[in-house]
Amino acid sequence: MLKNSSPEIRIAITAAKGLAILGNPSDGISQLENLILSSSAKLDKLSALLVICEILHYDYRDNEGLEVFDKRISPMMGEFPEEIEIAVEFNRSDVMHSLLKNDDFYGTADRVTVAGVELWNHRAYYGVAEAREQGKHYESLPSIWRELMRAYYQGCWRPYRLASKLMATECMGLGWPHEAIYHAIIAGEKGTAAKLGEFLLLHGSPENLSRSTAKWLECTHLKRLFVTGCDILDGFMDAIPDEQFDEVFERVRTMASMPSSNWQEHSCVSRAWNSIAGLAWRLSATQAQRLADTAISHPIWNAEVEGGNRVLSVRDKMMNSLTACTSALPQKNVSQLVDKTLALVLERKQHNDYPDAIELLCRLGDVGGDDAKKRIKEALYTPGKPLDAYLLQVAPNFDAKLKEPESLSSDISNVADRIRKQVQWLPLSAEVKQLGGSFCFFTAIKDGKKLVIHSISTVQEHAILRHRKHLSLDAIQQLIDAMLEMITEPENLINNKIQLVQVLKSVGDVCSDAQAKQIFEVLSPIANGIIKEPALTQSAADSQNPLNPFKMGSGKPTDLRGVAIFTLACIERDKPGIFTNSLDAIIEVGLTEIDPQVRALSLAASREKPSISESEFTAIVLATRDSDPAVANAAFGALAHKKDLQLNRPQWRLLIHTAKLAAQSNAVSVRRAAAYTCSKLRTKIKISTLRKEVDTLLDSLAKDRCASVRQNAS
Amino acid sequence: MHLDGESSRSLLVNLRNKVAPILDNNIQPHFTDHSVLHSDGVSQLVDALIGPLQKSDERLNQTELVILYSACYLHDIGLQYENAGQTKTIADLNLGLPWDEQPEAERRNLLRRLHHKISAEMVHSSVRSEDPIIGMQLTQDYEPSKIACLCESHNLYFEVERDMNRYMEITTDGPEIRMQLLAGLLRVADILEESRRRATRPKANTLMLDVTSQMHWWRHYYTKEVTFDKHDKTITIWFDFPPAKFNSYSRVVPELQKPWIEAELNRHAAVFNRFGVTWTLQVRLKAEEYSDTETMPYEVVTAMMAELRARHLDEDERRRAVLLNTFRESRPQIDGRFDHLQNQKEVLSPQDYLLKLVEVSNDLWTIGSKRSAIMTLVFDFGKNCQHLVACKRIEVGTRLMEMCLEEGIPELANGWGIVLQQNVRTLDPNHPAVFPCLRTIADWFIALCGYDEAKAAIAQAIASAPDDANIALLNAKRCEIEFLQGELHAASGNTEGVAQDA
Repeated sequence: MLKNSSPEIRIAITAAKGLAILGNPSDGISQLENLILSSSAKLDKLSALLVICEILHYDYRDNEGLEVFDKRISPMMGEFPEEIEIAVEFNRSDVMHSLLKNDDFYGTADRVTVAGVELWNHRAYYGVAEAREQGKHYESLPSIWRELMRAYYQGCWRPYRLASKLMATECMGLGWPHEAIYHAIIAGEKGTAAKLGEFLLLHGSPENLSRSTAKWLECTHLKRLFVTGCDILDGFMDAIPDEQFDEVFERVRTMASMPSSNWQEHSCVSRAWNSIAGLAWRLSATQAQRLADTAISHPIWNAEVEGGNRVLSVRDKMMNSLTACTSALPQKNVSQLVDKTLALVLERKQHNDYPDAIELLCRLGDVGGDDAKKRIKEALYTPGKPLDAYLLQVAPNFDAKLKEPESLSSDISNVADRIRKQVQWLPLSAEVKQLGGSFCFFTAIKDGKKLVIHSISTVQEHAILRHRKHLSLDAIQQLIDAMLEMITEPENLINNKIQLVQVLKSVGDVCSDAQAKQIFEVLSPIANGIIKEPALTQSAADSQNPLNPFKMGSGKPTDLRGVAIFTLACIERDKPGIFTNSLDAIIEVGLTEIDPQVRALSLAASREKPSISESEFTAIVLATRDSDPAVANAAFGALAHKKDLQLNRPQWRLLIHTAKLAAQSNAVSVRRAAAYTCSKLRTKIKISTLRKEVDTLLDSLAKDRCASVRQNAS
Repeated sequence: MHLDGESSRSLLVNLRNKVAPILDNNIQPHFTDHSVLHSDGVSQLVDALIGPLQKSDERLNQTELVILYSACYLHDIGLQYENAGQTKTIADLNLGLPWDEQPEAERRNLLRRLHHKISAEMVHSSVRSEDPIIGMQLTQDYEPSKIACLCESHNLYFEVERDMNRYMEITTDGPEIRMQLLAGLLRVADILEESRRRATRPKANTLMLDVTSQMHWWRHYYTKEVTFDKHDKTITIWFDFPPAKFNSYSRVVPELQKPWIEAELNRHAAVFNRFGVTWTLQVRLKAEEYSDTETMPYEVVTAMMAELRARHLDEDERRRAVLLNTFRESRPQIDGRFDHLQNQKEVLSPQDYLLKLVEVSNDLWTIGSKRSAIMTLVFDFGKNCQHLVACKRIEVGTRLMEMCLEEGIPELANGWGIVLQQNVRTLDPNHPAVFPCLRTIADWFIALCGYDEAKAAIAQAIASAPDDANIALLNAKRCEIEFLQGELHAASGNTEGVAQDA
């Protein structure tokens, strides 16, 4: 289409689009409108009008775009070649679909076939894929570039987006992330954007990161482009250069502060708060203050909750963002924020973000000191008012005392009963009743009965065990019995079992030796990998089968095994020597397991042990070189948290050597773990030459491209 | 009628009177009207068709006329013969069930498919028969064997080889009787008569017609008249559509109807031309004020469109086959020239060889053998282009580069593209070969993703551009590559930053 337009309009189109993407859509549109007025060529008018629609589409102003299509473009139809008219129809479809409206999309698709129009150049895509597979970028880059130009000239947005996506991938493959950013944002495809973000984090050089961030800032003024920009940003926000961080934060905060009048704008605001939650830990005091002001003055924060069906879905993200930056907040803001958050809990409570609000209050209590805690306690723990599971759990955070703590023991039988109801066998005609704390339930028919399995939350159990010192031994026995029964129940979901095992990790300091051994009897086979999956629900292998279109993950046996090892280690930590050497043998096997999750949790178990043997040390140091970053991370964690770590010279050298290797890793979490471990352990190194080596390493990590590594190294 | 003698006329009148009751049987109610009125119509159309012929030296003689007019009344008689089980045509089918026990629909179907043969058999059996099934004994005056041949030939399919052979066999010209001409006239008159008869809605409403039969009905319903213009030698088919649907029906119905008749005329073009029966078919549309013409049901319109689509797909297929044939036929000739050139390579100077190769390449390109055109020339040009004088080298190189660009293989110019760019600089900037070459080089760099080189080449091309239009076009390309590679400030024409919207 564009190739047959006049050069004047072609130049104006690039200028208008450029202006719009750079943040000035009004000027871009008005320049085109002026040309439409002065031009007599119908194709020029059509090209300009389509670009106006495209700019509006980029800015989530699809209603306005649709009006342009229907009032100004549609009357012109019937006078252009079929390829152009089809491109127009497809573009209109994009706008319609953005507005969640139906149109004759498939009719247009059929028209493409009948007309023999080639909107997508499949031959080019195949050529690109083949050249790329053979590493022939000198062939694939020009091919995809030509396809990008073809699609641009054609004027149909969909093929242009696809070509942009391929171009983004190509630029990534060539190590040009700063160029890939532009194409990925235009492509508007989440997967490519996320890959690019990850690529930047893993492979971005300081120069690339700086140029990429600058390009990101250039291209994310319009709302739709911003949303895709956030998909990239989430991947590399840790690597945003400090000097550009404030500008990035301001871009996201500005979008987050926008009052949303329709669902598209709402999704933009929601996406902005999502990204802020990831950025928040990097905020300075001023930035944190700006963010808090933005949140509490936002219409969504202050909206009334009307009726049971309305959900203000962004509030949880706002609170998560604030939770992540509370430590940077100035005191005066803490006080204000406490009041504003209490209002969300007491006056405008929503179930979906209630836990987030409680979490934020806990963090505000931590940073706000006694005053803040007192105000929160007075507001939430009023005499005579029953406590829900969340408030019960966090009562100690605010120094709130339970009025009758011994009453918890008398309530245990109800809790145990509820745990046992996770799996129920009912008559076929029985109606399934919702279980408190259950997210959902599965049903299956077997042997003429109805099997009901509830997927549960253990908030209640955790809450009670937060006050375990007040529980009688008998009450603890009831709780252990019920949980072990459900852990051994063949049809219970693995995820339920994982949660129950996690609850058990805190009973070590209150249970008897006999109870600890009772737990060991049940958990040790699981910790050794003897796990039978339920027969009536989908197995973990099936839920991960790439050919299975209906994946219903209900927990991996390896996760259960790892959690069982960790829980036993926690009980051993609180009752030293209770499992004698049996647990060591389990951990030792776990450290060399094939499954990374088992290895990582075995390392976490090692961390909980007060001391480590020489052979364990060797295994842990080896694990810092694990190919799985999570395992290496856990290995560093196991070393960093040893209070009484006593190492000889060769062991320190080994540790420093592995930390140096980790500092070269592409995985940020590994570099971060190395930085954390070195800064934690450096004071324990008595040999000055070795300590200097660690200091040099920490100096280099303090200059890492990722802020989280720098933060842990300093 | 063009019959001269009273005896001939009375033969025909007698025949009409005898066959009319049989034709009125109407045992094919789902078919369009095939009563004696149809036969009258066919003979009227024969009159019109042969009007100019009868004024010429090639006019039909009395015997031919008797045969032809008799065939007009007898060709469809087999359609109405309910006792067709007695005929050899049906007996030869060796049906599993006896004729009388066949389902009625199947009997009608067989009659419809084979009525031409049954008619012929009925005519043949009536010669000297004491109890003729056509109601009268046909004497030799009628030339009954020729009539039978015309009856059979009127429904043979030219697309079916066996039918075609049979047609040729039974329409062999006899002494003084031009059977192919008579058969052609009967077939064209029959098809024109079928298309012009206004199908009646009341009758159609009483029948449960399948959609194919409905299409048939509606096509005839909208055919208002068939007229002949002896001066212009045109046959005009007049259509009448309901005003509200005039535009949409005009695009469908005539397109279905006209090729059907046109194809029949074309089948007999050779014999008609030989004897001066030259008619051209045309279509005229009418939208009458206050017309009460009814609209078709949607499913019929859809079925018509589906049939049109099928026809167009067939046409496309045929066109492709023709193109492919032309391509196949022209390739060996050019290949032969290429082989000849190869043999002369040692004899010819490198310059002459290359210039002749350019000719072969151009010819290959012209017949659509584009890849071969490029591959024939590109390597030899790369190796030997220095033997051409500068302006010819640039001219050929430019064309070859354009071909590579059009085919999406710009990398084939990698070996000599830069040399071409250097060469063009040696020419006077006003030389007519310079600007096209620089413009093509700019496109070549763009296609190869060489942004900086492309921008420099565009600047060079602008410097030698012959007019403002070309300069504007080159500037547009520059802006576009800037935008497409994300140089937004440059594309927007603002290098000092862009103010954001409030």
